[in-house]
Amino acid sequence: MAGEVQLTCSTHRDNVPVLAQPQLAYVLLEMVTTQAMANVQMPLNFCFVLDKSGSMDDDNKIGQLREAVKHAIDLLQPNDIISIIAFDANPKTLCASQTARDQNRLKREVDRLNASGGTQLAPAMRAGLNEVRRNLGRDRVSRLVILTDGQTEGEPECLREADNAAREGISVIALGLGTDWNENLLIDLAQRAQGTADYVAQPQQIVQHFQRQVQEGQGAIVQNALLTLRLMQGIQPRKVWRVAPLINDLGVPPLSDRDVQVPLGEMVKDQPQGILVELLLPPRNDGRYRVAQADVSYDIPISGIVGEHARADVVISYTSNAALAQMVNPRVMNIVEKVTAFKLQTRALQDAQSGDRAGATQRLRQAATMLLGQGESDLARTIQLEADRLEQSGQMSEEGKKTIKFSGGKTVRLG
Amino acid sequence: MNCPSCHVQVPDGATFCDQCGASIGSAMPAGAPMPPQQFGPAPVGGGTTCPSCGAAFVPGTAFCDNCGASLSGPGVPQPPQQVPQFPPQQVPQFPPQQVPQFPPQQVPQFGQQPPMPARLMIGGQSITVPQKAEVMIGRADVASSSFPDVDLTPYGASPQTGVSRQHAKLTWQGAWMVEDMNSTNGTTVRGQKLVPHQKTQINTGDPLIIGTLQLTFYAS
Repeated sequence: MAGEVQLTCSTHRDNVPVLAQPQLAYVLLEMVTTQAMANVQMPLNFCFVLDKSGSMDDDNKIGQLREAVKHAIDLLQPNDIISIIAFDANPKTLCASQTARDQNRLKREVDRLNASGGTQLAPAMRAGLNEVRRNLGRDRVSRLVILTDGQTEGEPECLREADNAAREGISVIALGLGTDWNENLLIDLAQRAQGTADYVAQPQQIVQHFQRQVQEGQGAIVQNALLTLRLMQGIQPRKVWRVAPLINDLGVPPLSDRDVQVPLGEMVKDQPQGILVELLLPPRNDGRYRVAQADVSYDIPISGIVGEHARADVVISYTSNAALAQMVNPRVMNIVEKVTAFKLQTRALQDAQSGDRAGATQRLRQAATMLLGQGESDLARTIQLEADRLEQSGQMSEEGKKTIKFSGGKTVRLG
Repeated sequence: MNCPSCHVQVPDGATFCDQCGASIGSAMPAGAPMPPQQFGPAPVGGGTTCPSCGAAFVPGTAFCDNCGASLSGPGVPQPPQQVPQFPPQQVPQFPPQQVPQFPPQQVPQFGQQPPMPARLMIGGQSITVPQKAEVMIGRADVASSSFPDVDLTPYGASPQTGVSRQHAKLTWQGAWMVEDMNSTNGTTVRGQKLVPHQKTQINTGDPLIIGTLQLTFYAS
């Protein structure tokens, strides 16, 4: 069976000018599951790894955490598997790996969660992974969902555990609550183990984050998705970006390769994936050309589908008609602009860190202007505020920095 | 059946040539690839530099990689369409005697002249050197956060062509100086390989070799 995944290609211009020199084209590739998959759901194998250190008592963070876990339990299916590790300096198993059949009993266990002690994440990750390992399998989504509000000791050990998780196909979701945690560590953990890191600004937002994790896990029906862009002779890939669900720099493909390959990994139901590729087009005469063939291969283990494909062509016309060559696809251009704003923010944060206050301020302002024009007013306001703060005091706020780092990549919404 | 563009054999019923991508048998005319000599140097004066910060860009780029300015709006110089009639040897030269002198009253505060406008020519394309006292030349690499002021990637810079991320630096000290930043494959000026981190004056018309890329420096 085919048709579970739909692949569409669009370019920033349907018609490019006939030039005597190479020119850049932006190609947007979108992948989304189709209606045929509407009722398919993946069983989970989740372990919640929860910080119960003393600081979790402030602002009733621990109370909000208990409620959020209980809400997540409500969303589980009877055949989903859950375990819960609470940690301070030592990990404690609140619930060993088990099916979610008896939700009330699980929730009573959650009520035992109380705040005290220090913060040692690595032993808790190890304990969590051991729970997940008891029910590993291709027919389940295996995940470690970490929530912490503090700086942990033993960061290298944490990274080693993330690497172990990745090897076994367990992804790591790392959520930081408040402002006193190391975002670089959480981002690194998530990246190593094909997961995501996110910023939970307020304790009452934990519930939404946990809900999203459960729902996305249940929706992660497509596995091992691999996008291949086969380029025609003379076409050079210049840059590849993931644009949705998160903007992420995927780097510069090797120039010698005529194939650009992007491992998409898992795809969540109804959550479009977007990849933006910058291609260097060679000079050509008037005419219509297929510049690339796109192919997505994928598995849907729960439906017994292995190695299925979706394909589409990237077609561009070269024209000597200047008016025609001026016309752009606004949808693709908006995405290119959002990626540019993201690049500016990323560089501004690097500039600020290296002490280039003027450069950072200028780039933040330019990004804010772009985002305002794109209707991203909340993020634009935060960036503008941080630019002012940086200019006046030489420092950005911890909150602002985290907002920019974690919200800056969420601006592209496809579909 | 053969491709009307590159003449390789294509299966009956194919809509596009597998080799060059040209459309086959469609209502639109299938274009022939341009003769090879037209793939090379582009016309000079295309002005593909960002009007806001002076960074070079490849035609078609939507936003400046350096400062984020929009590059597709009105007022942005775009390369002329088609028909390059300039063979490389007709690239206009900038004889040194045409270098304008700054009259004293134009000298800004701090008693120092602003950097003399400069550019680098490569394969017939012109790269404007940003008007800064120190200008890094190299190859952008996001993974290592390398963003040189002059990114030679669009002009063929890569590890294969021997261009380092931070390859050479131009410094304005009343005259333009060039310095090799201890690059892997070195920098050559006027046929002389530079000793790393030693500044050498570079004059208009001087050939400059970055890795294996051959450029010419012009200041005016």
